[in-house]
Amino acid sequence: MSRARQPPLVTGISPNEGISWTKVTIRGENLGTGPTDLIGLTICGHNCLLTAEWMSASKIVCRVGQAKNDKGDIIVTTKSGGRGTSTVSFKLLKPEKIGILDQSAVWVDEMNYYDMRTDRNKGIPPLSLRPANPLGIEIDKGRFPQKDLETLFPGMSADFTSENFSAAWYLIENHSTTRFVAVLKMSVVNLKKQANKKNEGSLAYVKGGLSTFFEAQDALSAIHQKLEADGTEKVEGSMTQKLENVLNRASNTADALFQEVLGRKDKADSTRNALNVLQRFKFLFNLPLNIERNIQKGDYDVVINDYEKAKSLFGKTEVQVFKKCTSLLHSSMLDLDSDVRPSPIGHLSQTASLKRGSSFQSGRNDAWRYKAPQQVVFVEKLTKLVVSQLPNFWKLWISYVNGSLFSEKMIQEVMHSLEKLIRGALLPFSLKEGESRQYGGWEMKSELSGQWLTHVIQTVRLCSESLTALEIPNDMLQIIQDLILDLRVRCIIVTLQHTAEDIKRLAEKEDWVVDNEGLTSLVFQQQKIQEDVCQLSIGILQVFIDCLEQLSTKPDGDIDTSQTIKFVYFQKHLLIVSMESLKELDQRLFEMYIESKADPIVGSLEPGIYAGYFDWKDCLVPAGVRNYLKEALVNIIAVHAEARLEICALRDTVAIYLTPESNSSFKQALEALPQLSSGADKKQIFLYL
Amino acid sequence: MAASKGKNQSSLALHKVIMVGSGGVGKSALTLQFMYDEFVEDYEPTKADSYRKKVVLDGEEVQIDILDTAGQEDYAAIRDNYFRSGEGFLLVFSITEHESFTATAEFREQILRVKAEEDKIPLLVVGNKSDLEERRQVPVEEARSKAEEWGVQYVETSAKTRANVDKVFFDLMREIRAKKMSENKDKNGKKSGKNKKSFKERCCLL
Ligand SMILES: Nc1nc2c(ncn2[C@@H]2O[C@H](COP(=O)(O)OP(=O)(O)OP(=O)(O)O)[C@@H](O)[C@H]2O)c(=O)[nH]1
Ligand SMILES: [Mg+2]
Repeated sequence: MSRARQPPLVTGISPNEGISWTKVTIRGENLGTGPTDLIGLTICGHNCLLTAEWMSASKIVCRVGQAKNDKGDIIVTTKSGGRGTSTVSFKLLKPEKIGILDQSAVWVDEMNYYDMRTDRNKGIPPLSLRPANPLGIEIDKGRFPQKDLETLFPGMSADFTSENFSAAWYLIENHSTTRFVAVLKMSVVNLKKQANKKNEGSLAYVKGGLSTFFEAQDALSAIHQKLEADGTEKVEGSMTQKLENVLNRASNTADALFQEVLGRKDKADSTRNALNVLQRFKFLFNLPLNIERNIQKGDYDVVINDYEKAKSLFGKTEVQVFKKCTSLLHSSMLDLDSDVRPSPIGHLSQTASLKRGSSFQSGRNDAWRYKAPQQVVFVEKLTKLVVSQLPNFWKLWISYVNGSLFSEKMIQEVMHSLEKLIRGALLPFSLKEGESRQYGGWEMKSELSGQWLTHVIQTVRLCSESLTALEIPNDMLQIIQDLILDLRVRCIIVTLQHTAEDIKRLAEKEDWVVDNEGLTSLVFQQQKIQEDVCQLSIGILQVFIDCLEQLSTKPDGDIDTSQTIKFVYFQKHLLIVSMESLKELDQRLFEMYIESKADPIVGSLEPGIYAGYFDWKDCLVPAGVRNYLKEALVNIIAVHAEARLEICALRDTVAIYLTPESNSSFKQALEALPQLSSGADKKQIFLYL
Repeated sequence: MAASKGKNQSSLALHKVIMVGSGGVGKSALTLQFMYDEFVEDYEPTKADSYRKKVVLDGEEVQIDILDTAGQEDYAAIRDNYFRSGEGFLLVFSITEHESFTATAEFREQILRVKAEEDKIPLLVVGNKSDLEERRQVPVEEARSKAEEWGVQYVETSAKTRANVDKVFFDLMREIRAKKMSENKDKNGKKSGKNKKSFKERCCLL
């Protein structure tokens, strides 16, 4: 077995016993190859890994946790050696009771001490403090008979606690053989020492008998209460009065004594609170810095975590400082946002970053981040690259200001490849055969929508703006300008195409509904839907016309007069085309309507007409008709009238955007209608009637 | 006498050694040097440390259990208990501090008091920090005559250079082993052979 494979063995523990949270040093063999190799540490069955500090393969320092067992092994587990054993054990001690006045480095639950004075320190009677041998020299008793001494010192005593203590008697009784000079001198020193000690001791004595004092005070106040209750009069000098005085003095003294301690405790409490609060605030105030650091390190997860934490802690704060801090945080998150996103020179574009900021806030950032089509991302990255790198080239060129063709070419080349690459991505058809192979190669599932194209245009514009800011001559940037123009044209075309397709698809959808019998008529009979569709289509046309108008009438700008004329022409053409198709549609609609409505009426008459083998040839010229024929004719007239109404309604709704020409077409349609209904037919009908 | 812990070690003889002496004389330093071949430069007063490992004593695998006690007076009260569990003692003083040498007498008395019922207690007087010869306060002769008076061995060590470190521990273990063997003889009236069988029997009986 190789040495590294051997399990850990704990052979030493220092100290070998202690209360919870005692710091212990563990020594042994194979305690791991490094801090990360150490994967387990239990003392008395309690996991201490959290506090473990790996020092070497033979030494670990940790703190004993709140262990379950009183005495137990120290088990070290490492990745390299597995679970180990120990030859020594640790004994966990119950925390010693700490007196209320003792200083303690660890937090002590004061609940346990509440009853201390009733069950502990009953107090040592003062007399037990007296030393058995106050002189501290050897006692040799019995030389003098007691009786002789009693007669020698009448009314006196050798007991040094009694009031009539006689020092001479005591000396004769206990130290009669002691040689004066040598030993008694020492005894004097001893006595003095003890006297001193006693003075010191009084404090210890008070401390030790603290509970007795408490009890005494309790008893006194009880007596006092009793007496007052009994109604003993409050005469000056009476027992109650005296007691009260004593009690007051006692509590005053006690207050004075404890004031310092209690003050310290209050201070400690408030300090602890303040520390807690500070800790939280520190987190917030340090956060911007930490975030910056983590961003530099690339720990975005940490950043986002911290940010969320701070938001939950201080998000709803009203305090000005915190608000400021959180807004600072927010802005740094926005910076991060624009860094992380595939956005070029995001920091240059105020609006862009603002937009992104709001999207970040609303939590839809993910959609933003991941749904951008590849080509868009590509262009953004590319422009960013150029903007970040080109300045260097440009400076290079400036430093060779004499205009070496080579460097100028360099700039031009960069411009060229930028242009070609973007063209390859977005306008592949504008490239030559060879070029498209070099710069293209995008898998086009479907063409980019106009929205994305506008975005790209914006991106490229920003790029060219920042390049212009470098004072690169315009002639070098011309290709970029051309590119932008091409992109814009493309954008318009694509937008129009897509809109047309969208509308077409709308019809397709409607067709699908038509297939389901009954549903179509339902959909179109609902007033609301009808109106909405109407409104929407009118809106599209309206906006389009407005747009064209604006473009054509714009007096200044880069559009020259010929272009304006072109636009007007374009508009006219468009309107004529649309009107013609509208007219056709009108006619078709009208015919379809008449046919569909009149058909059932005629259809119901026809079988009856031919029922009796009726033939117009061998029939007399009819002089009148029956009522049912009249009714049928009236119905047909009603249908015509309805159609007419419909046409009028259509004209009214589209009147807002229709030109005189289209108006005239309506007139035509209307004229056609009365002709049909009020012409010869009508006369005939009236004749019949 | 058989250790109750660690199955593979339970059959091995266990000798319990206790480090005794004033604070700062180098008890912990000696122990750590013996156990882990390392010298600790800074002084960290001990409360009570436990160490136990396998060693080969005269060809026989045994376990040594070292209890490193507190020299500081603050912990004097808990010493009695510790001393009771010991089978042999290293009575350490520092040759650079005379007071630590005079203190050895008191420590010895405490040991004798606690172990009053035993006749001869395995004990070595150890004069540590022999590498600091220029600061010596306790002459070799003084220490040696005291040891002779007590009828024990005197050895000078250095926890820093490891001089005589192994020697004091192994010599003490030999004394402990000898004492146990003679006790066995007395108690059982049996011949304590070197063969495994009798060794095992002895373990069981104890
Ligand atoms: N030069 C030298 N220094 C030593 C030697 N032994 C111990 N020391 C140093 O003396 C100081 C005290 O050593 P410890 O071993 O901690 O003393 P200790 O006897 O365990 O003290 P307590 O735990 O308080 O009883 C440390 O700074 C040691 O580095 C030695 O042999 N030579
Ligand atoms: Mg020590």
